[in-house]
Amino acid sequence: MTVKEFNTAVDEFSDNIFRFSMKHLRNEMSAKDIVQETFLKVWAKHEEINAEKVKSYLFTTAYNAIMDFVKKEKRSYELPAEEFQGTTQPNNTFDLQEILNHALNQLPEIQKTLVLLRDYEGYSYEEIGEICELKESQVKVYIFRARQALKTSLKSIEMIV
Amino acid sequence: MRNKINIDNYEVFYLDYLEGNLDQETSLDLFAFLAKHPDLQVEDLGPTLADFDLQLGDDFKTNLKQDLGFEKINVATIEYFLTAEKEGQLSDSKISELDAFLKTHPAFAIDRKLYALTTLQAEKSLVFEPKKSLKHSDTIVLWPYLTALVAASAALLIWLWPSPEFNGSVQSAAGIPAVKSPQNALPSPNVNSLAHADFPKNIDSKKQTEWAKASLHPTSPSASKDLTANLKIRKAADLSYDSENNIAFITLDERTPTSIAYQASATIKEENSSALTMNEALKPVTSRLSDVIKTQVDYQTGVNATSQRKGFHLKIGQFEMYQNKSVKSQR
Repeated sequence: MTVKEFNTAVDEFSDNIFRFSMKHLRNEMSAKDIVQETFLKVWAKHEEINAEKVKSYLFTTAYNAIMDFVKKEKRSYELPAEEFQGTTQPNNTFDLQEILNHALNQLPEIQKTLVLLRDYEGYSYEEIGEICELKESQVKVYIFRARQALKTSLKSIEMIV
Repeated sequence: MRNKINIDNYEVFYLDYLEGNLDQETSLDLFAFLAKHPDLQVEDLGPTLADFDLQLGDDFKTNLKQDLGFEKINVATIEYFLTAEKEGQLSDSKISELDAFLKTHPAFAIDRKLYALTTLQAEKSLVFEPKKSLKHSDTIVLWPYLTALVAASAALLIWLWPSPEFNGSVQSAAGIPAVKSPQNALPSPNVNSLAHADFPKNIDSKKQTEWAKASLHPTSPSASKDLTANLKIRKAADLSYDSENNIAFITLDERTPTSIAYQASATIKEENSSALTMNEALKPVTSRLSDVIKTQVDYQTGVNATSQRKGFHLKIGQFEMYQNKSVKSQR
């Protein structure tokens, strides 16, 4: 991957990595750190990376960085909800995405990661499996369970349907 | 036991199995269920259905096949099919089958709508602003260009280096080391022909004085050839002579605006300095005497004396006298 392709990847994917990190860490500074760390690691190996697979490589790196961060800091569930606007408890005003975000934060990290990669980035089960180093069948099961959990959270709100 | 394990409760049975609380018959049911749905097998459960093959009778296997018809949509499997539909995993025929089932079971239609709403939307407002801090610039390797530039400059300089051509006017060159005062210089030579670096063979043709051979040493080796050639048009005024050190100096410059001066020194190697001195000393006398008495008077010594290596040769009109150290003769 050339320098130009790397810079293009920065333009195209830095926002995605940032959102992905924000959903996990719910802290802007930490999410930015993850983005910086991710692109720094990718830059270190940019000559070995195929430009066509840089997105997958970025998310793999970001995912690992997030998991390391969560394990090290144990902050994923300790952060106050107020730190991240998108994860606040749904208020009286109906907002489907807020409800889903709240439900998302109740999911185990791995399920949250897979659903985000699936919905945000549109990855297939196979691609998600490569990013998270899981079997395709495992990805499918985790996502199915996550869907059921999300559906259950929606079902609990009578006004939705 | 039949239909006891399904997609909604198999994890409970699995945990019971791990804790050793599952009887053998139920364990067989669990493994038969997982064998039918390998995608639900998240982790290695250890024993598989194949490990129980020896314990399973043919009747039991037949019953399992009849009872575990998961391809069929029913109340127990509806959640799986609804999720699969949401994930785009169902074929068209299965979707039609699902539609037909939901018509007969409208209570699940709500679940279908809820599953459809579980897609998360990326928050586009969340952007990573300091993108510039992540970017890198191309590293421009300058040394090949600089090397080429230096080489080109050197080539251009050599090409433009002026050749030392002379226009006949000789000026003093600045920066030339001080030369002995022209007071000690020989009479201005009238150089008409200086063919090569042996200059000056004859710097005073008028008075028939033969000067010693000199070797030219131009300060610039590359200019030697041009200098030698251009000496032909050089004026005599550029020649000075250091009598003490027996060195002739030739100061030249060129026509180009840069006016780079050349200095050449010639070491005089006298072949017969004594004869030269004697001849030079008596020449005016003999010449004057010839004019007064109107008779040719000539006096020579050394190699110039007729047939003599040493001694002298005096001629006054028809009278000639010569002498050498070993033989004295008079005619």
